[in-house]
Amino acid sequence: MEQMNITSAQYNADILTSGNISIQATIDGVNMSVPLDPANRHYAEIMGQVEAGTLVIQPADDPETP
Amino acid sequence: MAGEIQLNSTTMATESSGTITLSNVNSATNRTNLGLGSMATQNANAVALTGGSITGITIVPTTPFSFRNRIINGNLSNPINQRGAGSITASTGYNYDRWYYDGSTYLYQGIEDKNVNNGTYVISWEGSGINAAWKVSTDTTAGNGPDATTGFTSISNGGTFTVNEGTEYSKHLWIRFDGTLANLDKVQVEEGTVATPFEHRPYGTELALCQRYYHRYINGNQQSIGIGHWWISSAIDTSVTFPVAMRSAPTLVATSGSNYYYILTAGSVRYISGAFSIGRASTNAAQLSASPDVGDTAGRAGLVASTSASSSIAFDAEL
Repeated sequence: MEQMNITSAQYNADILTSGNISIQATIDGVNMSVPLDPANRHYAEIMGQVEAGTLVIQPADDPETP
Repeated sequence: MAGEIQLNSTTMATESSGTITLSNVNSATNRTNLGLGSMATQNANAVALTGGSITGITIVPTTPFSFRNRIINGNLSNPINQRGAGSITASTGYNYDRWYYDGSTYLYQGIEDKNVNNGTYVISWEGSGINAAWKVSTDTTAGNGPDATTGFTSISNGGTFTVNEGTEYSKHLWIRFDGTLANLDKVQVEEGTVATPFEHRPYGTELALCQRYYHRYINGNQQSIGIGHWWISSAIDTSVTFPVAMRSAPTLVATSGSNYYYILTAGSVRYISGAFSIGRASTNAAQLSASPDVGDTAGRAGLVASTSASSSIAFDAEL
C-alpha cells in the first residue's frame, strides 16, 4: 500500500471522562474521524507515523461530547 | 472347455479354463441389454453425465458447494460500488468495494485473516492480459495491509498455491493483479485444486460481505441519520448501528460544509456545518457528535438528517 499522507491529527476528548475518544485527521486530503482501535488501518498508520517521528497528534480541545 | 456368455445373442463375456472375462460391456447394444442406458459412462476415474437425473443419494464433497469464493466482489462486470467510483482504477485507494488500486500498476484484494485457513487454493479469473500474484501478509499488526509490493509469488490463471502458516487465521492473504486491469472479471479464489465456475452470490449477500469493510450510511439530501440529543447546549450526539459487524471499529468519513446536516428539535431547525466526530466506536455501532451552528437547550432531542446533495457519511474498516 502507499503510505498515507496525514497532514493533521488532533485528539477528540470525552466530556464525561476527559479521556481521548478518537482522532480527527486529514488523511490523503480527506477529513476523517479515527477510533482508537489498533486493528483500524488509519489508526495503525497514524501511530506508525507518530512512532517514526513524522507526525504529532495535537491534544484535544475542550471536550464537547459525553 | 472354453465358452462365452451371451445376452440377446450378443457376447458379454468369454470363459477359458474357469476364468470369465467381461468384454464389450460398454457397447451401446450391451449397455441396452444390461439396462444401463446411456446416461453415464466411465473411463478411468472420470464419469461423464450427459443427461437424466440422480435422486436418493448423498454426496459428500471435499470442498463446499457454496461460499467457495474467498474473494469478495469478484463479479467486476456488475460490482458492488458503494463509493461510486468511476472504475476500479479511478484513483489511488479503494474504488470498487474491497479492491485497492496503488495508483499506477497494481490492484489488490486482501482476504481477511479470519477467512484464511491452511490449505491449497486455486485462483481463476476472466479477462485477457492479466497477471496475478499472491502473498500471505507478513504484517504482525492487523490492518496494515501489504507492507510492500515485494514478496508476491506469481500464479497463472487456474493455478494453485498453498497457505501453510504456523497459526491459522492469523495473517491476511493478499491477491494482486496487474496488466490490462479493465479486462479483469469473475475473480475467484477457492480451496481445492480445480477451478470451478464463478460463484454468483445474491447481490444482497455480496453487499453485506462488503459492508464488513466499508459501509456507506447516507449519500445525498434528506436522508435520516438517527435520533440525536443535546448533551450540552453546544453539542449533539447520535448513534449509528452498522448493518453487519465490521472488521474493526471503523473510521468515520463524512463530508462537511455549510448546512450539510441539521437537527430538527422542538419546532426549530439547527443546521450543522462543521465536521462530525466518532466516539464509543465498536465493530457494531458508533456515536457521532457535532456542534450545530446555533446552540439549544441541553436535553432536547430531535431528528438528525442530511440537507445537501453533497452530504455523505461512510464507515471504513478496510484492511
